[in-house]
Amino acid sequence: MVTINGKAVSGHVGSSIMDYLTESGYDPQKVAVECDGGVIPRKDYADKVIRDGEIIEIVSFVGGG
Amino acid sequence: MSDIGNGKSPAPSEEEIFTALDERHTEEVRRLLWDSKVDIAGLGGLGSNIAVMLARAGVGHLHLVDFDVIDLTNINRQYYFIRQIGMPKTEAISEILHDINPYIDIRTEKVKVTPENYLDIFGDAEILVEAFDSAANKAMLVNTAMEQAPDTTVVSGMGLAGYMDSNLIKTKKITDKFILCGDGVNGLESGYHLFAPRVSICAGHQANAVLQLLIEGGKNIR
Repeated sequence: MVTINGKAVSGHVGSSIMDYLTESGYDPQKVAVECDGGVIPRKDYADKVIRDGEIIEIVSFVGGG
Repeated sequence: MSDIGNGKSPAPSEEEIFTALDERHTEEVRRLLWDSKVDIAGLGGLGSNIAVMLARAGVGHLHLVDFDVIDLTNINRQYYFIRQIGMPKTEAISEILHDINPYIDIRTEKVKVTPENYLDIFGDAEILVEAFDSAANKAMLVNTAMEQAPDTTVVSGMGLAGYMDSNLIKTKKITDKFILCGDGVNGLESGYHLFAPRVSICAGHQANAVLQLLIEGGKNIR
């Protein structure tokens, strides 16, 4: 079980961040992904595997300024 | 009543401005802010309002970056005037900020920020305000800062379109180096338009987060 944006989700342990983003409909070019107090570098999305118990926050940017 | 500012008097001296700021903010805070530098990426609705608020607060050094010029569609929410249409935003905001405090040290760059030139522009930034317009550029700036300049704290604004509930706009600490202001969801993609009030509310959140970082290290940002 992992916690993503405050919700417990199952079935994603072992997936990469990139897989989770694309399966969940996020545009990887418009997000920042936080895990363990740091922002995951974009170049690591494909390699970084989601581990059991992790708390992840995905900031999905919207336009306007 | 003082006749300063009636168009006939010279600008107040630096000392007079310091005295006024001391009266409003205390001497300790005035000195701290006057010695501080803040970098702002984007001088549209968010960035122009944030720059004005930080200038009024007495931040002494501002590094302001934008590649664009002012057009008539900016006037609905950005801190510019009809007489400034056609001017680079960097020039127009400098003019406005010097009307607020002629002694602020302002450095501007009229350039489009990319991952490739990020460190040349913002490499020495301690506090960087993200005030871009497009979602992709916002994400690019935040990620690039986190990847290339781990000591920089970024204060980003996101989710401020429309005229729905003002109280949805919050300040939130994502990490120690990434503060996010806005409602997080309501953007141009949802078909909402940009109006001055919510843009200014989000700008106020970002400017206040900057003051919290400068004055007390951000310990009360949650």
